[in-house]
Amino acid sequence: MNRLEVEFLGIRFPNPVVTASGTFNYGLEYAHLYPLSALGAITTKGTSLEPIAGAPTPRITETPMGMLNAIGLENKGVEAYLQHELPWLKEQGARVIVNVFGDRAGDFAEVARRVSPYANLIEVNLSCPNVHGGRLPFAHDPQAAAEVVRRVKDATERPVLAKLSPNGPILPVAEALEAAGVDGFSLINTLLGMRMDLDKKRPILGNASGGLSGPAIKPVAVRLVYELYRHTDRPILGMGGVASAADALELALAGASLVAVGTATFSNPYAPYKVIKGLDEYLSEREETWRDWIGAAHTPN
Amino acid sequence: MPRSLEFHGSAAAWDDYPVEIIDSHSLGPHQRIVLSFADSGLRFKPGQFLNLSVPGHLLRRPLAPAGQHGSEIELIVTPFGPGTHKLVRLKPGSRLRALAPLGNSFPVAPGDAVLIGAGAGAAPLAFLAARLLAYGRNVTVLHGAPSNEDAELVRALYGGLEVQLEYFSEDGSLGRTGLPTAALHELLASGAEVTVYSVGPYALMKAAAAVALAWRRPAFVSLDAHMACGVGACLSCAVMTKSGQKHACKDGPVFAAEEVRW
Ligand SMILES: Cc1cc2nc3c(=O)[nH]c(=O)nc-3n(C[C@H](O)[C@H](O)[C@H](O)COP(=O)(O)OP(=O)(O)OC[C@H]3O[C@@H](n4cnc5c(N)ncnc54)[C@H](O)[C@@H]3O)c2cc1C
Ligand SMILES: Cc1cc2nc3c(=O)[nH]c(=O)nc-3n(C[C@H](O)[C@H](O)[C@H](O)COP(=O)(O)O)c2cc1C
Ligand code: FES
Repeated sequence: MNRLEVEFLGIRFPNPVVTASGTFNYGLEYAHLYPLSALGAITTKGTSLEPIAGAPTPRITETPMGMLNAIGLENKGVEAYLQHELPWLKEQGARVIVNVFGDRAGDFAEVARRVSPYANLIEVNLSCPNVHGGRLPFAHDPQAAAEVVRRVKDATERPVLAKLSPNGPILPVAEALEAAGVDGFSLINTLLGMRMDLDKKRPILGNASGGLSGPAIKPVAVRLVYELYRHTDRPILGMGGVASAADALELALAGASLVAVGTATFSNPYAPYKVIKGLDEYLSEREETWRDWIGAAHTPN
Repeated sequence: MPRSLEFHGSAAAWDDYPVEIIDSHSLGPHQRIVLSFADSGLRFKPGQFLNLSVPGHLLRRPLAPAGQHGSEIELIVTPFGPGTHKLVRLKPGSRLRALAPLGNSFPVAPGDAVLIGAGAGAAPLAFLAARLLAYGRNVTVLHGAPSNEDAELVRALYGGLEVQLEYFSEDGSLGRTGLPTAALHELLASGAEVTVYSVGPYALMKAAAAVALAWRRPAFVSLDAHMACGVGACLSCAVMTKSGQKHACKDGPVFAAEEVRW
């Protein structure tokens, strides 16, 4: 019996552990360590219509129990990934969540349309700036975010996850996205932060500010997944600081059906694999299944 | 399937290895740390690096070996921030983990070589020097430092090697006074048909590259960038080259100097 199996938006995942966007690129770098098909899914690096060079260096810096990154959404543009990485991922037998973003709603939709033949799910990264819209990133502007989801839904048959940002209220955005037809949610993206260089008397990162990830943000992730679960009937892909089976189970209790491992892969490239093994051992010992744990913290005593 | 094979290219088969510090001692401002890789069978080439775990730190630290003797890897660590300060205080017997071997390596060019470096940059250069000598090349080393503080370092790294070593101190306390790039200029101006290799602070590599290019000599440098994954997955280590943006951990760290957009 497979205790880890889970169905998510009509797709059967052999286990709930996926990689987090931007921490696993397109999987090629790790494919010699373990078969990518052994993971729940690979979430690709954020992909846009045109190539993006990204932010000035330094792009990362360490923080207590975490790190800040400002990669600046570097990617080769959808066309390059359609040529090489996406067909290759398919050949590996991996399930694929393609993370898409753009300057405007139509760009998100166009990327989603083109990657759909290779994607099991589309994850819409709403944390990028709304270049042609207001001052807020899509993630904090319910109307702009809803427009993105509507356009993406029109462009693809694949289920669409909206990736929420912890840097503002999430419930009003989630509500607007539900009305726009979103299929599920993924959260959390990174928390905005900054570090200073005492010698230069300037921010360390080339981009000044960056996104905080890693164990430091796990309690924030657990809290937000818990909060969202109480307000939505759509399934949740939870992430933020997951490095062990215990971390994954915390998110499951809060309401996550799938969990992503991100920054932990930098500390240990086997981390996603290790979380799967750990979950299997933990649940086997208790004769429980992953499904038993999803949202279990919300059931009355 | 052909497409996958082609796309895989020569992706190096790095892995995550358990390692143990079997020796650690001070070389003035630097620390020589010897790691045992047990019976991993792993082989480093000069210029390649490892990404070493540090207790209490989330991210690993990239370090380029100064040499390999069987399963023992010699490192030179210059304390910089909290992670490297922690590393140099670890006692023999400490167990860590290392992603290795990572990145590309220095090519062994035909003809003689000049190695120009500073600080811990001397580590991969000493490894390279040994390799070049094994290929029968004559090797000149130009090492620069603020003072005589690197005396122990160069003795430890180059003492057993048949290289011509010249030490440069900015304050004149040891060897020639001034910067090693001045000597590189003299050497190339005299018509030496050498390949130049440089590892050290950005300013040194940039200056060495400029001198080499001015005299139309091939030159190779090892670019330093803040790294998280060390294997090409996070895109943090971007460097600009004439053939577009590259990533130092995977496409480098060694680059032809003329390729780099300085
Ligand atoms: C390919 C390569 C080989 C290297 N070889 C050596 C060596 O043999 N000996 C040696 O002493 N140093 C070497 N360095 C530099 C060394 O990695 C940094 O000094 C070290 O990572 C700094 O960590 P920290 O905790 O002391 O500083 P912090 O500034 O606290 O580091 C925080 C984070 O930033 C990254 N970071 C900071 N500075 C650098 C840097 N200069 N290069 C890369 N990442 C950085 C660290 O990896 C860490 O994740 C090498 C760097 C590279 C890229
Ligand atoms: C280096 C790096 C790059 C990232 N790039 C993206 C990205 O392109 N798109 C995206 O939606 N999230 C991106 N993220 C956010 C992660 O997918 C994830 O939401 C966040 O890091 C929290 O999980 P973690 O603590 O397990 O890393 C990135 C995170 C990191 C550390
Ligand atoms: S350090 Fe992650 S891509 Fe180079």
